[in-house]
Amino acid sequence: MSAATLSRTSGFGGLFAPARVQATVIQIATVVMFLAACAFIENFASASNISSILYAASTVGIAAVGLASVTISGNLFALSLGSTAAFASIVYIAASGWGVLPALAASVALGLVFGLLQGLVVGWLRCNAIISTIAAGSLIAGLATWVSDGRTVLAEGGPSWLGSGTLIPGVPWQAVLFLLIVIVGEVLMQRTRAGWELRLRGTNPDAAELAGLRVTRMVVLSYVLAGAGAAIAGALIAAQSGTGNLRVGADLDFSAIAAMLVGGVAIGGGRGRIIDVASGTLFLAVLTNILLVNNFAYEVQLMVKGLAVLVAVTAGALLARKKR
Amino acid sequence: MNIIRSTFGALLAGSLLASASVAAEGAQAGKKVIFLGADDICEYCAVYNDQIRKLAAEKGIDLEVVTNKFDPAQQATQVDQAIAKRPDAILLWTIDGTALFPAMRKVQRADIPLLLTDVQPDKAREDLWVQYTGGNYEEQGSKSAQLLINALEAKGKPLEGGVIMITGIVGQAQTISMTKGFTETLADLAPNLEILGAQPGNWDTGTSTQAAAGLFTKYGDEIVGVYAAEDIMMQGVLIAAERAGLDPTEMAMVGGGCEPVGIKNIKAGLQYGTVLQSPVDEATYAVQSIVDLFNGAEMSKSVYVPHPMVTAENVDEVCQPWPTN
Repeated sequence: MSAATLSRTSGFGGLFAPARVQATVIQIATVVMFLAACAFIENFASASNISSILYAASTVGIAAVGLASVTISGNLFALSLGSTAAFASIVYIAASGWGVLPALAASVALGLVFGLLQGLVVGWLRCNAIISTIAAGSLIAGLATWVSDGRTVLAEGGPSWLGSGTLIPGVPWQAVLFLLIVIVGEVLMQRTRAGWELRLRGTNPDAAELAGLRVTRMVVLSYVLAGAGAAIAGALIAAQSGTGNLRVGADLDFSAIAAMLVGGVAIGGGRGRIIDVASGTLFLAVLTNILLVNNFAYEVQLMVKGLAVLVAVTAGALLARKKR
Repeated sequence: MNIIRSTFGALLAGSLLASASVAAEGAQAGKKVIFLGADDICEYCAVYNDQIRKLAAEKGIDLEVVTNKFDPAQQATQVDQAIAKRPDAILLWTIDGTALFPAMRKVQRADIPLLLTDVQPDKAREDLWVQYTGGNYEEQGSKSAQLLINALEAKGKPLEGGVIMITGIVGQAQTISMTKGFTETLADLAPNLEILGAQPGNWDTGTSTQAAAGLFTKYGDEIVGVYAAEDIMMQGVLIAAERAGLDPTEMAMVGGGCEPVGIKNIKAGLQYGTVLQSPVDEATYAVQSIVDLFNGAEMSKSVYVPHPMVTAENVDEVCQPWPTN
């Protein structure tokens, strides 16, 4: 990100600079859509419905935040999020007898290991990012099947506080965790040397390398974060239902990519903030909820969500062209 | 006592082995059969795949298991590859009953007997296969409607009010049949129960939670009963009900499949009932279909596994735990 871009993005006017306009529009659209739904849809603003939106947003959002570090660093996507989440859900439930936090830690450790391995393959060995993560996804799914024998693992005693507890009515603990991860991710990406290096690697990999930045280390770090995000998402899904199985996270790859791109993260890398990922996630979660609450047919839901992603990505491409 | 148990166990194991070796002497022994099924990513499929391997080995069948991740295009390619290997028969779990018709026609042209399991495509094309064994999804849906009515009666509630449905993946043959069976039976037996809404749960707990949460928000207290086509989807409904502050014991909650999580919820009183569909039964029937094919037995076009209705009263008797390796 150039100094000129930075200066354009600071201040109120910067919100509508070419590099930020998509993210700003999505943030405004999310707020407008939410307020309109509160006003016109019966029971939409009820605590139970708000918590339903936040549960959906938290799991996808945490995975998307992790994924964003990969995309911003210029490696497109990690396509192993779903299988990592599935394996993590099984580990979480299997370890849930130790307590919520040790089980969560065990799941995260699993995600960190898988992320580290993929990071080394892509960052150190310079293998193709997409092919490597598809292969890793298949490997992880195979391992998870081998470990679980394909069976659903049930928690003793059902869902825990992490799965069903709320800070206040309508705000589940999972949403609090999502918020904390967004804040930490935003600070890491915008305020630290590692964040700068990640973004510069995404903007121009060759220049970043020539400038002596820690390119390999940053790419490895991005996959570690993606693995951790997917694992936390899997653990949270498992905590909600008290079950872990290979179906968990089946749609996570697409959902996380959609949330990130809608929010305004550039596919090509270098542009986008963690807070954009959060707003993209909330935009899709509110939109999905509105469609569900109005009992729209499944095909209509698919069309509307697909259209939203298409419009956002097209707008992003047009804005990027205008920027050039 | 332990000695008696050990001796009895050894005798039982010996008799089972003996019966297996006797059975393996049939005409099916040594026949090459390729089973094109679903991946272990689905728990039901994992149990089915384990069982069919075990049962086929007991009958002396040379069974090759080929799975895919619910991808009809990939399965069509797998059918081509299976034909090229010239097996004595192909057993097919069609990922998409309609999309696989051209592939089934290729099997017919290659003059390889085709047996179907688990998913029954449109019967209008049943000239393409020798026999289907497996679930009768319309019957399952119908029995689920009956169970829902039984639940309301057991709770002393009138047969009126709203019902919501959480279905499988839209467009799948089993989803269409289950929905048809449920809606038609409910309309026949309890015309004052109105289906307010239906959303797909895609055979997944998380998706079902979101789907049910949306319907609970819209219809709330109007809902007197919920039908989820599978017990793992009913688990999602129960989570959504708890979040919405609704008491599931006051509603008629009916799942399907006699799955481990369903058994747990029935015993906890959160779910009224389920309808049995056992992967062990389906695998057993499929292997019997192979045995009948090679032994020249008379083969009807459709053989269905039993689908008894299950409540807390008979759950231990009917829902046997799924075997583990």
